[in-house]
Amino acid sequence: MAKLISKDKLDDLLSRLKEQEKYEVFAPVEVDGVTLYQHINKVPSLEFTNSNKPPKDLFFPQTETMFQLERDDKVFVGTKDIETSSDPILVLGMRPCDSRAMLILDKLFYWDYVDPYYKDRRDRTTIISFTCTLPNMPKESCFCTSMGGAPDSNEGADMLWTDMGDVYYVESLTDKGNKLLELGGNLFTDSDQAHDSKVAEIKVNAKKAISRKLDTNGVKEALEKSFESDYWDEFAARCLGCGICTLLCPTCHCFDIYDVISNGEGRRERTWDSCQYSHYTAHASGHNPRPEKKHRQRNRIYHKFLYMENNLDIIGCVGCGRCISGCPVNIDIIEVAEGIKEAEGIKEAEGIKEAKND
Amino acid sequence: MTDNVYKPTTATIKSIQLEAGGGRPIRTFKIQVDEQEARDQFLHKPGQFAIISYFGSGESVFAINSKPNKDGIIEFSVMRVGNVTGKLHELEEGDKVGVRGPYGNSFPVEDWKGKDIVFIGAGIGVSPVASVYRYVLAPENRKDYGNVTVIYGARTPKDLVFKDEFKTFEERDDLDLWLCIDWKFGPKGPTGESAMKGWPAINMQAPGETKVDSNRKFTAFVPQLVEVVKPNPENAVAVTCGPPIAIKFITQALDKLGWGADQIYTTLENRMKCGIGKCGRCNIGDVYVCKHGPVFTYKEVKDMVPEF
Amino acid sequence: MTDMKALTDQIRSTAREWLEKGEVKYIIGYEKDPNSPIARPVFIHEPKDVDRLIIDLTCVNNLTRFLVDEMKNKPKRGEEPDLRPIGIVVKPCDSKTIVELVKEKIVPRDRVKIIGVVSPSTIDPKKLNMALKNIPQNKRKDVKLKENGNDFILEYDGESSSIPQDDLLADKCKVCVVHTPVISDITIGEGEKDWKKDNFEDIKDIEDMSPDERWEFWKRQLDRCVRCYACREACPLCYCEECVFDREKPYRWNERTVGLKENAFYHLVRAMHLAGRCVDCGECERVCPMDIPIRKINRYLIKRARERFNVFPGINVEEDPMFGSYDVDDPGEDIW
Repeated sequence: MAKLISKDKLDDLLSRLKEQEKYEVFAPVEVDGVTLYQHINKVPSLEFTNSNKPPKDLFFPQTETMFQLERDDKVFVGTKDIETSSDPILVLGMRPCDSRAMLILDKLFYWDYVDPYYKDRRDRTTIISFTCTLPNMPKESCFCTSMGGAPDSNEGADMLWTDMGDVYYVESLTDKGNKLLELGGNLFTDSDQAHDSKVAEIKVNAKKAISRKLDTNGVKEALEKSFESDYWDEFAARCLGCGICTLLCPTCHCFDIYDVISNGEGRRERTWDSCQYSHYTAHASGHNPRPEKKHRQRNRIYHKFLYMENNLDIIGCVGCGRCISGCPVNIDIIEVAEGIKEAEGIKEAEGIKEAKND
Repeated sequence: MTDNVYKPTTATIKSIQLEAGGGRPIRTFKIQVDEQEARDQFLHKPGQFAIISYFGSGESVFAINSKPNKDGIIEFSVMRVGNVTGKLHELEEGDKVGVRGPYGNSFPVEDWKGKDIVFIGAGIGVSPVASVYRYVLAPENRKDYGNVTVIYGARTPKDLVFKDEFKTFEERDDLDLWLCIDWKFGPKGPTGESAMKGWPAINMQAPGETKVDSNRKFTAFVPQLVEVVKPNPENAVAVTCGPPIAIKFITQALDKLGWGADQIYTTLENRMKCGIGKCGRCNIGDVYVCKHGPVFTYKEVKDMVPEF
Repeated sequence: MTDMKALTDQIRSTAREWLEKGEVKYIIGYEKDPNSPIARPVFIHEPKDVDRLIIDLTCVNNLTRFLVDEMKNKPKRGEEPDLRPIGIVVKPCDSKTIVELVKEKIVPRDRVKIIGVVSPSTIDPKKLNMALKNIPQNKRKDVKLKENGNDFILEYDGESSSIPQDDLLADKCKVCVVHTPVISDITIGEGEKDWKKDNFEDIKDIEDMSPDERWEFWKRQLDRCVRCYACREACPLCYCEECVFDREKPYRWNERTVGLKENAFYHLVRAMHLAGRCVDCGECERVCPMDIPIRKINRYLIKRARERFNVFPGINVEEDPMFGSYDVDDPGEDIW
């Protein structure tokens, strides 16, 4: 049974969540023209396209202290756990592509060994996905429908809210979502036939508005054959090696672990890393298995479309388009995936060709 | 909080042995895990690795080359090449380090029972190989395996590691030990001279035709020594490790002698950080060296994408 | 009004001639991006491909960055190095970068053959995004941009709208003193030769702030830096084989932590390394995914270099580099 909540009741909802259960609430906020997920006390304007930095930052922070180092006079001799919170977290406003990306990160961070830092945050977070609605979304670089997602996908989310002007259409998908309905109480009203059919229309229009398409059929096969292809030289010639594609990607998970000594205190930290940096795979002996930019770009493309699926049974790209709009030299992952298919002589499915010519 | 797989447990250094000096010295460390419960978890299998922390500098990955045991004793050899290894080389007996592991897969020693085994180590690559031959040569296991041949080479006699251990090997009659050094080889190729007394040269044109008597020390590259020894592939496995270029030539030499790629086992090294398949660093294609390896058959290595 | 089509044709014919005669190894230029309204870099190796080259208001990249890459390339063992010059299409701001690269002996003058274009300016892609907000996103790549006096004309679907230059022009173009390439082997287009005067109006807001206010401003900006290092990678003058911020041995100069302290250290040190060298090509600010106003720092240092040492980076290839020379009259009150 879907619910509705009026936009002017959102601050009330927030107050209830904070007072009753000490929820920490994060939402996309505009700061100097850039949209970032920040801790909020009042609900900001939620008309955003998508955040610059992906929301994986809330579960897997860019820099995170793992534990402190224990001192014994002049040397460090052991470890000390850091204090963690147990308060619940609410992410108010993730795009469905980013919510789906959480499923990919779940598979990785729970693969055989469980990453305790990720699990701790993930377990106590409730995710409210916002359907991508016109006129703000989808963006020109979005292609979620080609990667198994959709502007109204509910995968990875605890609730799916759809903006209907003065109200949000609220669909609860999990126990965590139901808990919010309970805590919100009378702030949520039942939906009705009119709203139900209008929302269906909004979702259909959003799906239709996705303009970029990629036919993933044949991409894996092309990649398996073309590791040594000349194709990688061509498009990577203009790559700067800046790493923006990996830092903005909601499914990239590489990190570095190192110790920091500061003001006499020691700690072990981890920070996002990027396979695009030249020293990423450099061995201590000086040997570098991926010495050139094309080798590193190739590694990224292979990860997104082949390796992640081979290891985790889920394709590694959600079609959010951040790498496309962020790249300073217009490297376009859709163009690359299609290009490698073409280079290997694999034809496009007719249906996709038609959609492109619309 | 959930059990923290990233948190190392503390261990005390029991002994440090300088194996080789020079610009990049190699020291073997023997450490013992402090906590009793943690000691049981460290019963490793030959081929696995551990991640050692120098608290304040960072972590580094090392192959465990001691025999598997339940006392939390871990031995590993460290070549000083960077920050963490540099700091480790400054430590003394009684100092504390952190350790977590053991990680990775292991050599399928159960499958090898009844077979002949040839161990081929080049340079510091002999360290991971050591964990297996120590297991195989242990009194309780030796009878389960056939003939054992150990082939090991380094640049100069000073660079040979585990000197004391190899001295005892020379006196054993249940294995065949072959050693070589290669520093008389000039930049344009081998000079065909003996590097020093007691280490005669081999037949450069056709190593396989070198006259072999009771002497087991030669001036040669390890792949050439393999051709001199001519190990028999029938009902046998080979275990080899070394720099990528050495592995390439060693496997070529074995191939010439009729060895199949699935009879040759190696351990791969790649830059590793987390050791548990999360940080993404060690991948070769879709293979994570820390999870799917570090032990691979040469057949598996050939199937990987060429980026290591 | 600049005839972009004529400029494009001239670039293509020059490129064709140079490639056919084998005078250049390849040519770095701009081409149309089928999926974006902004042009992108292209490497033309064959004469038959020269028709991909274009020049227009959306050619925002500074291509000299790729010249530096080429100079760093070591020939394969056994191969004779190909020492033919690299052809490159440059806007006036990019040509200033070449002057610095030649000065610092990174790019020998005879290894580059320059097609200098007198182009009015470029737009700021982020501002273009704002202006295109009302055009359906799948049609944005069909948008055509033209100059018209002090405005830009946006043509789309048969309709056109006029936008004041200020709303679309890149900020760097508003303070640029050169509209003609300062160095080239062939100059394409006609342009005014007078130098414009630069009063550094764009940094007046920062200069007028008190030190505390400035710190608050930069704290807010640098806090959101994600240390992608795109500003460094896009900068043609950041060409060190191993950047100080990548060094791990014997120790790290800057921690890998992404936080205000480390971010500020990185940006301030990079700015100092560019003092007296930065020509304000604007790439650092353009590529930043977090919209940090990096140019403000560099502009401030350009002003200081001019005031204290009478140095104009990127103008005169005969001039010595600022930190590579001295004058006995140099102000030295900080040192003595």
